[in-house]
Amino acid sequence: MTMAGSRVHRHGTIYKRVEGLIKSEALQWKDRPLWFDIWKKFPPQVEPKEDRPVPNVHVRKILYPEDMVRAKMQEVYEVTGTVKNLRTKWKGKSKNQLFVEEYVRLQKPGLSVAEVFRQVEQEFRARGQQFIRKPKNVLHNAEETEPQNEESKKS
Amino acid sequence: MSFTTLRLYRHLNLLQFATSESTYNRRALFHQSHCCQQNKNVPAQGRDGLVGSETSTVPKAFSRTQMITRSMERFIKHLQGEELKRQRDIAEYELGKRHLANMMGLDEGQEMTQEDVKKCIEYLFPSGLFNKQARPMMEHPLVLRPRVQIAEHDEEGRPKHYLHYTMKPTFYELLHKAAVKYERLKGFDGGQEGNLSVNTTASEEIEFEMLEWIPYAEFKDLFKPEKISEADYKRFLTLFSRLREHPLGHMECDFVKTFLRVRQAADSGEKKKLLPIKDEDGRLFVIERGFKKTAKAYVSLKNNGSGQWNINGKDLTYFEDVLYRQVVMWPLQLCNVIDRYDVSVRVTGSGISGQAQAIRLGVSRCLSAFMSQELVEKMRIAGLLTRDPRRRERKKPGQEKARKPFTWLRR
Amino acid sequence: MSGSHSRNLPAFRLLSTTRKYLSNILNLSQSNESGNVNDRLQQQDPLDHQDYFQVRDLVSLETMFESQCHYGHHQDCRNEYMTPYLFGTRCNIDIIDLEKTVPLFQDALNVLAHVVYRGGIVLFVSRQKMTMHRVEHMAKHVGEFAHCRQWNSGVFTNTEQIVGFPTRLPDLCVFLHSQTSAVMPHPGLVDCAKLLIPTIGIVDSNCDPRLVSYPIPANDDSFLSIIYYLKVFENTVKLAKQKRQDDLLAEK
Repeated sequence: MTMAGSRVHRHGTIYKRVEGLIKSEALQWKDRPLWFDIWKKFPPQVEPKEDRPVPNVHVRKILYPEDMVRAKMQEVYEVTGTVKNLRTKWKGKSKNQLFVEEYVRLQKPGLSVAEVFRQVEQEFRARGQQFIRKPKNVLHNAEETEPQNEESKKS
Repeated sequence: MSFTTLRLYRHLNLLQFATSESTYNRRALFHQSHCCQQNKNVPAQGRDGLVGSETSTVPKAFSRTQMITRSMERFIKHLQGEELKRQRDIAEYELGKRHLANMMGLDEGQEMTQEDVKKCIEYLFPSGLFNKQARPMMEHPLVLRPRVQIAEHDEEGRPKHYLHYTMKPTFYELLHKAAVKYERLKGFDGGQEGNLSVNTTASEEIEFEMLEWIPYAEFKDLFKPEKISEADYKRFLTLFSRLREHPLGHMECDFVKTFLRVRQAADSGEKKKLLPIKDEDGRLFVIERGFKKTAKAYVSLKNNGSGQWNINGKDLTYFEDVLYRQVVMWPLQLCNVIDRYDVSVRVTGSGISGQAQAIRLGVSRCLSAFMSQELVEKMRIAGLLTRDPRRRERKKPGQEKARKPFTWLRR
Repeated sequence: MSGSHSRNLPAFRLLSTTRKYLSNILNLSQSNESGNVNDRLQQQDPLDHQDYFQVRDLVSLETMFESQCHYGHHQDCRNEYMTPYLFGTRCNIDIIDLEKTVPLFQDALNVLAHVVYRGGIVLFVSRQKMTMHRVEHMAKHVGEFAHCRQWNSGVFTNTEQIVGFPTRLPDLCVFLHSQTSAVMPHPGLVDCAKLLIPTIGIVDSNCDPRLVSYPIPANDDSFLSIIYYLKVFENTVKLAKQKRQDDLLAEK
């Protein structure tokens, strides 16, 4: 498309190019474009030029403490409930989220994961909601291991 | 630098309009124009009246906003001058006509046409010049110098049409309108459908059924100065057929109909095309026959259906094998109308495969009465409208079957 | 970030509070002595005012979050020039830092309002089919221009040939979607840069923000977010036009 076209846009910014024209009197001050004063007063935060160094920024991973619980939960229980619909502004909490919150509330230092899971399950059953456990052969003994030492599971 | 400057001029070239002025003049125009920084303290209205009282009191804020630039004024003045000149020319032309009439001894009251003027000039000023354009002539000034079209812009040089920069404003506005209407139809859910549906009369429906889109050649001319490509036409077709085929499409019937016209009959030289008949429910139907080997199928096809089948009193399960069901449905599938027509068939003779193919031919023939010419052509190319002429070959004497010889035994 | 251009957030807060304070005074004075402060404010050059059109209030972080403006693309699609605007990645999806977006958005709106106020032409550009007709409708509604169709490369560079007579080009282009597909940048951006037209653009995590004069890092695919941007832009243009009309009347 730009096979034999101009490449002026690669050098500097549009503001600098107009400034240069004015400085060299190729363009009279009164003929400056409409946006020139606005740009001068409110310049962009970063100069919009094409030749600029690649920013060296590390993008971190967003992780929360309860992510481990959520992962474990997905291993033990069948995945139910809906995925969030991006076309609606639904502000409610999903079933899984409620489960995790309950887990965090009931968690105590002495308890194993399996015990807390059982407690949470009972709590939900009392409210009339159910979490279906996956069949035993799929479990890989997931319940017995602590969420902290993931590696020990593989051995 | 020169290149950039040139580009810049193009961009800043805010208020140049098509005039007959030379490029030199345009440059001058350009230098006087723009952004009104220089004459910012002079309000546009009453400029002539307020010359003395200069406007130091006028705040900066709006002095910039209100300006009609000098180039614009110049342009308007230029146009006014042109118009004056043109009026003078027209008056002169009318006077000239009367002089001509006088010279030729015509009636005073009689109106002279351009033809008459031409004849008079030819008589009064005979010319042997070979080039016809070089001969004396007298034309109406508006024919010689038509008015400049500037309706698209307002005083500040802003285009009038909000889609001006797409270069095809009228065409794209049409698409925009259709898209908005389609979105509106999509907004109604199934629950409301019953309340909203309008009872169209049967004749209207038939009319709607028998219409087709206007062809590209005609469509192109509707948007004359804009160049409509075939791709654009296709885009129009997809959008409008979607609008037409929507379950609530009849709500926008009038809008869509402006681009529909009655389908032209097929070439008269060929076999006369079957036309659908109306039954007691007001539905259109066609009866046709299909053959294959000794199988005969009597097929009747009804529109506004839901894809129901009736083959000798059974539905599609008449054929136990899925393959034959596919064979039978192929024509409908090809035209993408499986769920729009009801088919009922009486079929006799031959085996299962032969019956299926006989039905297929019958259905295809019926469909060709409903479908557009393009689709019929597509069916023909697919071989759906051709009767398979092969028959069972007779058994020959001295042979086991038609071709197979007896087993040869060395004795 | 270059020192001269950087602005810190507290300064903005300060300004917005002063503006609110000023507007309070204005309201009071109108009831008491007619129009003294009003005159003083009007004689000020709009450019000297940090927020002449009060458009900075139109953007709020909460609404942006609710409108799903923080969702980026998969991290593999990320444009490396977008990394400064990212908050992090969650499940391999980039999340845009809305705290950085909001001031950028406000700046962009301010510029847009100033251009409209001066009678500039604004062109809204988008190639997203889902919201195309909405963009066109909005542009028509506020009396500006829209281009949501296939970009003819001569639209700006060869207008005279195509239209038949010279046309005034837009003074600002607003790109609601700075790409034509998942990978192709919008050719209009380059044309704008060549013809010295400033641009405002919503840039997602997979877009190249380098040629956009006033980039707004935010989600450009979600239906809700686009509706939100359209609403904000519409209000901005309306405010600026209203201001323009008021000032014209005051002049008379």
